[in-house]
Amino acid sequence: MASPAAAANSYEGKLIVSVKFDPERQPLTFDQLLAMIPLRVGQPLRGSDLRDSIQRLYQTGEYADIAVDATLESGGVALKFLTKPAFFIGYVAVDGVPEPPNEGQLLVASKLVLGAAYVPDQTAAAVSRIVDLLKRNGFYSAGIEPATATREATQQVQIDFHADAKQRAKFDGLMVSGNTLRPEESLINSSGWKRFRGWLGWQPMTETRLQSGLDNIRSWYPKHDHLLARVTLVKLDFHPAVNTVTPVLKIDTGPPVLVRLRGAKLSSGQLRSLLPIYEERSIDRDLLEEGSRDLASYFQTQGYFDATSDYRAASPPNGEQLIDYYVNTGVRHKIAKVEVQGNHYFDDATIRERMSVMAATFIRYRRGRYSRPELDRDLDAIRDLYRSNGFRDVVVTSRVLDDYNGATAHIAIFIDITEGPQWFVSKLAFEGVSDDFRAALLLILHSTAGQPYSDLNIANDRDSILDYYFNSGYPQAKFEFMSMPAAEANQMNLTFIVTPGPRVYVRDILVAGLRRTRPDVVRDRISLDPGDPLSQGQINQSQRRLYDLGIFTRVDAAIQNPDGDEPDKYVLYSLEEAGRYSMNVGVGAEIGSIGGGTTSLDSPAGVTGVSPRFSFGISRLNVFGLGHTISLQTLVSTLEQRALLTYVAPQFLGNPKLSWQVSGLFDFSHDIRTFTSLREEGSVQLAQKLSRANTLQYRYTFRDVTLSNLLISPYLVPLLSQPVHVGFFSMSFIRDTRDDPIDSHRGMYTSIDLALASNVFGSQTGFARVVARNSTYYSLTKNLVLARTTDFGMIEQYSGPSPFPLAERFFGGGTFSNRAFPDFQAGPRDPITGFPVGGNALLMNTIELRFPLIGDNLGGVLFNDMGNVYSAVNKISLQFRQPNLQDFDYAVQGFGFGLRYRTPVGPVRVDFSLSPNSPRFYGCEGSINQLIYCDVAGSNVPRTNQRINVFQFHFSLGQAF
Amino acid sequence: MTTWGATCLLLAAGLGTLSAEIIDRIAATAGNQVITESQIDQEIRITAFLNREKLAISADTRKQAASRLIEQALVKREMDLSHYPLPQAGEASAALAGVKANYPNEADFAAALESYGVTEADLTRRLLWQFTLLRFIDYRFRPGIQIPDADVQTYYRQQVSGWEQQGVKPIPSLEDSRDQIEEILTQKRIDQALDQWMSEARTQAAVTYRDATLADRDAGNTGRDAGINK
Repeated sequence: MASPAAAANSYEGKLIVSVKFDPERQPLTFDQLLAMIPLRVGQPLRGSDLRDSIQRLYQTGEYADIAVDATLESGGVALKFLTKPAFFIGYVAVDGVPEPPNEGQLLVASKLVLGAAYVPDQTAAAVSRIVDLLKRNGFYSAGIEPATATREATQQVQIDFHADAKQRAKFDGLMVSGNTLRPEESLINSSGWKRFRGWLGWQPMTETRLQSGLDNIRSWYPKHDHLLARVTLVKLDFHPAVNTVTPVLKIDTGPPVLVRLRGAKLSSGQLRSLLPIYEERSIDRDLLEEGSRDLASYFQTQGYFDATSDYRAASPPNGEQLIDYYVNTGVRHKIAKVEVQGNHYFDDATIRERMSVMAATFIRYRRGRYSRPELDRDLDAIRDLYRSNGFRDVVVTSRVLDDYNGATAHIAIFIDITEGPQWFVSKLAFEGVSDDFRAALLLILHSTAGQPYSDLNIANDRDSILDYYFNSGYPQAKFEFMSMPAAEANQMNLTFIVTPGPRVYVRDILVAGLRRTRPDVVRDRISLDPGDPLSQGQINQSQRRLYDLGIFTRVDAAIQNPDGDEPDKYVLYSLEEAGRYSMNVGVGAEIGSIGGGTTSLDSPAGVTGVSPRFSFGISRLNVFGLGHTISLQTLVSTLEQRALLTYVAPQFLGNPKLSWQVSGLFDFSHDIRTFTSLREEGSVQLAQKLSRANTLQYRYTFRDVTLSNLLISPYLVPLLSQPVHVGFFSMSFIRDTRDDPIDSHRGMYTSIDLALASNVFGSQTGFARVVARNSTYYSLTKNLVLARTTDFGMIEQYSGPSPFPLAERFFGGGTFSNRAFPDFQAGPRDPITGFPVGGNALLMNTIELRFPLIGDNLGGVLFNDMGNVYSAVNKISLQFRQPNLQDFDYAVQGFGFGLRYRTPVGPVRVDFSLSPNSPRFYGCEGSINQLIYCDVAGSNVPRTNQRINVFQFHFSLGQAF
Repeated sequence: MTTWGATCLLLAAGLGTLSAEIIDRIAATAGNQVITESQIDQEIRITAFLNREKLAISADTRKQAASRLIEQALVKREMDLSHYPLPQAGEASAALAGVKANYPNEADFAAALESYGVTEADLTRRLLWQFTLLRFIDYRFRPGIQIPDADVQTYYRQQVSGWEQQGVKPIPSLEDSRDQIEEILTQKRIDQALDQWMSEARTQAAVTYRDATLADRDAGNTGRDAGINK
């Protein structure tokens, strides 16, 4: 048979009478295929057109192979494209492996990428790699069975790897060769491969445990002057009969290396952390020089701005290696002044924000912060600031003056800025941009007419334009620009040239991995539909919404055949559902003025006590496959026993802005010292996210509260100890623009809660309640934050029994309120016992100045808390003095200082408060049973004058507000 | 049996009212670039014509041609991605005239082309490709190559030693030879850089062969038969 090329020659120039595709069902429509190739019926056949056709079809990525056959027919040649479709990875899962490794690690090991082209050989290679990973984690007898399913219609291959991991092997010892300098038992103890030093046998083997054991063994040697020690894992001896593993190590301790520091003092720990030879466990010229530089930099940060460092290495005959670092610290300086001059367009604060060089400050940088490289970086940052705002010719220089103003070793740094003219964009023109895109782009571009002209702005605009096009289905969009000086001085004309390339659309959305979840729950969260322009932004947003449901541990999104040139593409979502249940357990303690007992009248303001607490929670995820969660959270402490059952439907009815919640609460608590309450409560809430900052909540609550152990006037006990049913509808508006809710530096938080209780809602008492909070945060400087918050609340009872139920009143004061009080100790008190009885109004105001203290993690706070809980809204008063011992309607002041230590879960907080006008009140001593004898002549229950301690301390997690 | 298989079987058996035959197919791929059977055939013919060799289409010449075409595809892709300017069609005119000069007249030239199964347009494209490759080298590699003076001197000393043994007199001075030596060393470095780049580009582009016999020249790249056998 002739070669294809030779055969082609015999058809060259003949008229094409038909073009067909075999098989008839093709990945693209016949019209799309014909539009793609240059061959036309009625035109003569050209070999080059044939090659181009094959090339273009192949470039779609939809074909694994293409050939063309020709048949002579009357009048010309009939062409038929014989095609074989390509297949793509549509889903990969691995099951049957206890963690570690987790499924993510297993999938990474398989190297099967979602949406990428699939070749059958890949499955065997993936099995091999997964088995290898399992062995590294102790599963030496694991078996993997791959199951592939082909979806012809979507050209997908779905691969499930079913693992039979069997038992994980355990460590059983250690074999070491070489001079280890330590007994084997000591090495084993360092490795951590034994549980509780062997009392509970050997640890199961995992890759992480093996590596950390090796690291622990290695880390001993540098601490004992053998920093060149090599600890090598030679092999892992697996013993199948007993399913154990023995790591075989080779240890070469190398010569002793003595590192000495001359000319300055540092602890050996500091030296080890500064010198890279310890971390790298290697000695070469580069590392020694790097260590020298690091030492000099360290001393420069300590105020020795002229510090230099050098080293000498020697190998004496005794086999040791000696490394001497010589540090010449020079004089210790202080940065007395950093002054910026010549700046007109930007103020000092704007420029200093970009500088790391700074003058000495009290406590934090006692010597200031300066080094020549830091100053150079600052100058560059200032230049960049100006250039990005159109000052193309800006000149920024520095002068460093020692012994400034005659003070020895005081340095002044002057930053001199010559701004030059500011350049502006005179006219911005577009090429290749449609009218509707132009209108949209103008809203997001920086370099529009009248704006400063700068390379940075153009670079940002380039990113914005390309992002816009990519998210509008133009993945091949290209951007260029031209600029020319305009007729006016310091003005530029700009032209943005966009080549959009072909628009790509969504062919369909393919979701895989659902077992329990209803498909419409997922589909409703995906904002793309077939026929939409392919948008990476939409793909990512949908992925985020799916993650936000909280029922998937993995949401992978990909485009099938991402590099292919086909006009529409499948969008893939591969999901892994989370386990059905999650649990949490917590153990802790509350420390504060919480002691005193439930029947003792001795300490109405509490005494310092400790309340241990234990919490347990369990959640059932993805209830009914709807993405809803039902959870039970319980808490047991000496102050409180609580159980909260909630049912949460996030993204209610598929709307990401709505969430729905039903909850039931049982709470038995004594956290307010006046009474013990038994609260049974149910509520239904619909939350609506209006925008990123604004949220509305609508809520109906019904509760039944029974009080006991009331430490109040005996004649009020019968009234206030009756169970009270309260039903109310409430609505909250929350506006939160804080930069960081845990530790805010700027922004505002406002909440307003309005509630109406009525017999219409099943309430025995009718009242209206308003609770509002407004907090603002200002960054005075880079590290100085002024924060303030005001709380206001009022209750107006309009029906139902009097007095107003205790449990519905406002109680305040304490860690998250006015820190002049212990928790819940603000406001009116019982005239006889002195215990707080709550009020119908509250007004609190707090001002805090937050500042850094030492390093980046320890900060301080100066605060003033002011306000109180008042008997009624018309009794709110800002007066300083307490009117009398039975009148608490005045503003209690607390002045204090606090420490904040930054942790990953928020700052740990300690606050000390001094209150010059803390409340005084009458109280009785004795037990509740003796209350009727209080202050009765001849009884041994004396009436006493008491006062809330003027000193209060609070310990908690998180800022006060 | 699949439609595909049935089609192949029917075609292979030569059934049907009029016989159909494969006139082109994918022979190899480099990324999303395709090398077809007809391109390989054409490459062999043009190379034989330019070298004035006897046309021999064998397994070996097919392998060599496939390898050259893959390199072309990789270079063209890189030039496209990096927006390197391509040479104009007219730039090949002088080279074409040089080829024609080897023949007494146009008629002999045309006859020679025909005897190799090559058209003048094919030949012009091939000559243009040579300019494209030169341009690619100039843009991609030449700017990054610097020849240290020490290398020039070392090379000169080696040359001097050779000249002395050959009895060359007078021996040119270093300064007289410098430009020539620098160009020689530059060409060497360009060749090394091109080889290295080509090797990396082949790996990155995942070169595959539909016909396994073509794969021998590319170690590490196994043939991948996609199943069209007619």
